[in-house]
Amino acid sequence: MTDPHVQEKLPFSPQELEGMVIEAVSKYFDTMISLPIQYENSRPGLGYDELEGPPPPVLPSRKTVIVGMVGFVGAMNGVINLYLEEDLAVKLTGSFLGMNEEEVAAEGPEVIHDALGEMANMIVGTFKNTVSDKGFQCRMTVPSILRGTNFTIETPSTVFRQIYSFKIVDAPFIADLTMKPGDC
Amino acid sequence: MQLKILTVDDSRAVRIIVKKAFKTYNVEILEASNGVEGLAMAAKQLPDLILLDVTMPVMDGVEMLTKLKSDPSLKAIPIIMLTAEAGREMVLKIAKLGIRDYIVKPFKEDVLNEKVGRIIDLRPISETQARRKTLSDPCEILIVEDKPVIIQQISQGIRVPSWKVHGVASTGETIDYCQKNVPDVIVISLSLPDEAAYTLFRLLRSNMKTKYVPVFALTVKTDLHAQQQAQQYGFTSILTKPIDYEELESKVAKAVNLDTSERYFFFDQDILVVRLPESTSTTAINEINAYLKPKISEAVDQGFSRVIFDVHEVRNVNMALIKLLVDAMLVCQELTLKYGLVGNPQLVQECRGFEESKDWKFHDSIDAAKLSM
Repeated sequence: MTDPHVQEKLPFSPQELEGMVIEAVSKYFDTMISLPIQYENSRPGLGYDELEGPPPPVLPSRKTVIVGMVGFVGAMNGVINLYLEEDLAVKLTGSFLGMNEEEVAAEGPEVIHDALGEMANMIVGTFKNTVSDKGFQCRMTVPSILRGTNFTIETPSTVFRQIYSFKIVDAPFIADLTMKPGDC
Repeated sequence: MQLKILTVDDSRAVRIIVKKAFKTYNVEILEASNGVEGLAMAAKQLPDLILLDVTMPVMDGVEMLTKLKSDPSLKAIPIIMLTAEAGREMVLKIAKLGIRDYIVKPFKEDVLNEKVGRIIDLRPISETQARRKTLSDPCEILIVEDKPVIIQQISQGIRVPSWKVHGVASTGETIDYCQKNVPDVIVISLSLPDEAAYTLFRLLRSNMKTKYVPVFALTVKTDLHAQQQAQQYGFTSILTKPIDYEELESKVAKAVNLDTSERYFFFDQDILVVRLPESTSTTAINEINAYLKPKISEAVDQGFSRVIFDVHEVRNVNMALIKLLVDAMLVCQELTLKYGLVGNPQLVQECRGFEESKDWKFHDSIDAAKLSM
């Protein structure tokens, strides 16, 4: 779990960060996807525990889970990992690109990965632009994609980490924010 | 000529979205996935506009932009940044390098179309490739007039059954209406209060959806100042009250590029019939004149060798009519076509009064003309 003092080192309150994440996610869905998304809640991210071992998966599911990841570096460093199940990924890719599910399937996984990478780019871009406009200049990294089942992504307890849960068409959509002040 | 837009983005998804956004326009979309490919494509194809991402592998958008601006053959190409990078400092840095606009991802297709449309002349495919519409195709005329009686008069005065008239009373109602349906022609009354007609005209011209819709000004015949002002503003045409519906229909047909030839030209078995209307106004004569040569040539192409000029409905003979018929006969002679005339007794009598037509022989009916040819 995040060290409680880590939050104090950030220039943003938990409420501000929650608002920035909700705004970034909602803006993407409002603009690019014609599907409504609801924010549910947030919880602190867990790290490795000496006694318990690795934390449980952020998105526990029997289905294949895909994570779109984009980082930001500069006056603030961090990454937002966006978790969703493969079924939802196909649906969102279809809505994003104006294709039906069969057309998405015919294009193969590469088009899904590309669409999710761009989704992460747009969501993290909106978040990062707010951070920059508050006086903490940073730049984004190129997106990457992780795909698998029953996996965890761990972060050291010295960085702030919060997990924000959303629901879209009855399926989970999770934004996992890791952040710490940068060196510049 | 088809315009070219180059989209430079490492995301294939974004390039697909850009393609989709312009699929109804007469533009070719070129693609590149990084700055190096983008520069090579720009040099080879000289696109009319470039949509450029910032964060890309190999060569990012800022570097590509800098190189474009330092190349004399490419620096004039307008560039719109299309990127998720929108921190104030980054935007200022890029703006200094010389770009035409900046679109922040996520973006709406409408915004992309509108911003691109401000720089290059985007035209819908339908306008450039579709079959030419005829009088039997639907045509929607939006009348902006705060006096309902005028809207009703126009609605009743138009004789083409497939044309529909819709009336609105204000600028706000016009904009709302055009958001949902784009009419084929808009007629704005210049008597709307507070010069609203001119404000509305400007709004319509700045909106992508209505940018190319013909807009007519409607004013009283004696108000020459208003007519002159409307002309200066760039209204497509001017209609005057009391309304001449024949003129209105002809102007609408011309503005939307309708093929109205079916009114005057038709085939009767193996003969092309050119039927002149009751009123031989300048509008009608000009319209027929414009079709005359192409329609007769088309008939020859299709194997027709006889033409009948049916003028039996015409009420008054004037020089314009005589000239039209003389020209028509000359076209037939050039193409070695046989031709005949059908008229009524009054018209035959009147034609004898003109030097050019005094010897013309008329038949009473199309059948009689056919038998004589």
